[in-house]
Amino acid sequence: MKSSPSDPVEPLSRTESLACIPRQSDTIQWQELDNGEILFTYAIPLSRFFTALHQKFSKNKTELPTKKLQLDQMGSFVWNLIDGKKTVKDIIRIFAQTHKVTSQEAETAVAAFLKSLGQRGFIALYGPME
Amino acid sequence: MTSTLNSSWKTIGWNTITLTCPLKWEPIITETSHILFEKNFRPVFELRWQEEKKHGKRSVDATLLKIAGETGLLVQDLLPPHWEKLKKNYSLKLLADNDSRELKAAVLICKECGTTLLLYFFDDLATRHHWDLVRVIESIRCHQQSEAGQVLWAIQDFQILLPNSFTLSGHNFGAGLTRLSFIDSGLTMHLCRLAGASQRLEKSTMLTLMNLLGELEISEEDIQHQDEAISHCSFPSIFQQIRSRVKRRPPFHWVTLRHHPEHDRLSGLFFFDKKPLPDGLITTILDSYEIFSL
Repeated sequence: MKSSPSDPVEPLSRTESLACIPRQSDTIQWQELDNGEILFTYAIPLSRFFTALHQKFSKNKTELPTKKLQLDQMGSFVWNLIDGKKTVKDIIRIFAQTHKVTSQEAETAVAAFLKSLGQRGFIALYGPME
Repeated sequence: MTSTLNSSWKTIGWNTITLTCPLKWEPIITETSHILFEKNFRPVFELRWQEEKKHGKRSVDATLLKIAGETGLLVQDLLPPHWEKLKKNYSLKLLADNDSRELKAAVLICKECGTTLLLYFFDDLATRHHWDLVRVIESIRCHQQSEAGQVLWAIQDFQILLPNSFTLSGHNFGAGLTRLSFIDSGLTMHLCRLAGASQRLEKSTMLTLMNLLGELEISEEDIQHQDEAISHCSFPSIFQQIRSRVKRRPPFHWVTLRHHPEHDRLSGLFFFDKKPLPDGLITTILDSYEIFSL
């Protein structure tokens, strides 16, 4: 959900959140490993001072420091469900059916996972009409 | 014991209340005396209850009107015919929306045990599906049913029968880990139910999980293996008992963790007490702990 700093966004209700469609970020680099798990490689956001310091001592002057993050089986499963078409509710439903857990459990797990992906900038949530 | 699942209806048991509801309704526990039922992520029915409370000189009718007044809804004087049969067991008032006059809630007081029930209906449950609703309300049991003094706890995909002296002291419904804690005088019991057993057991052993869940340090050679379960019972010497007491830990424990490969679940029971644990009680509780397919 995009907004300007002067225009604070109203927190979404649960129904609205469930109707949102998560989309993978175009800027994030990821690959599927042989075991099916997802490996992200992303740049660490550094202040200008630390960027300059890194460039001074790094062999490759243009390359920014990166970090790797590997999802487990469940996380990779959810990541593969994020196709820009399925809503959060669809993902929860598929997760619950596949892993044979209750909808409540699936909602807790998927919501927390999507939140952490969003905080890292790996996904963005869009309303159904956007 | 009767099965909690049949073709299209299931039994829910939570904190002295039992009821049957359509299989597609998912109960969500938010408080010890509150269950919200959802269908396809939308609320359909909400139940709050309070055990018998002395209302002073106020009559049951006046109590119903007082509670009804607090909801801000309109009290319906006429009872639809399908609600009439509930009058046998309950004193009740139906409440409607002030504008649309649509049925929104009901307040019931059990004639036998005095428990007050507050029900809210969402969408068109009370009008289009009133037979389902009446069937759900008719199935509500708010007082002890079993002569053996046992209370049914049935939620998610498990059920267990516990003595009615057991009081719920904590509950947590995490993603893949359900934890209920009970106390009965000096005895403490923790019930755990873990989903995704196969994935958990790929990363750790049953013993590691049992030690983690029970905050124990049991070694491999001390545990007993039985079919798909492991268990451990402590027999502390007098010095070990003193040491545990000094550490403010109950010296006696009886713990078990069972794997249900057919349901991909792990179920655990952890008993702790300051005095030796009664064998018969534990066996009865353990025998009643069942896991179902979702």
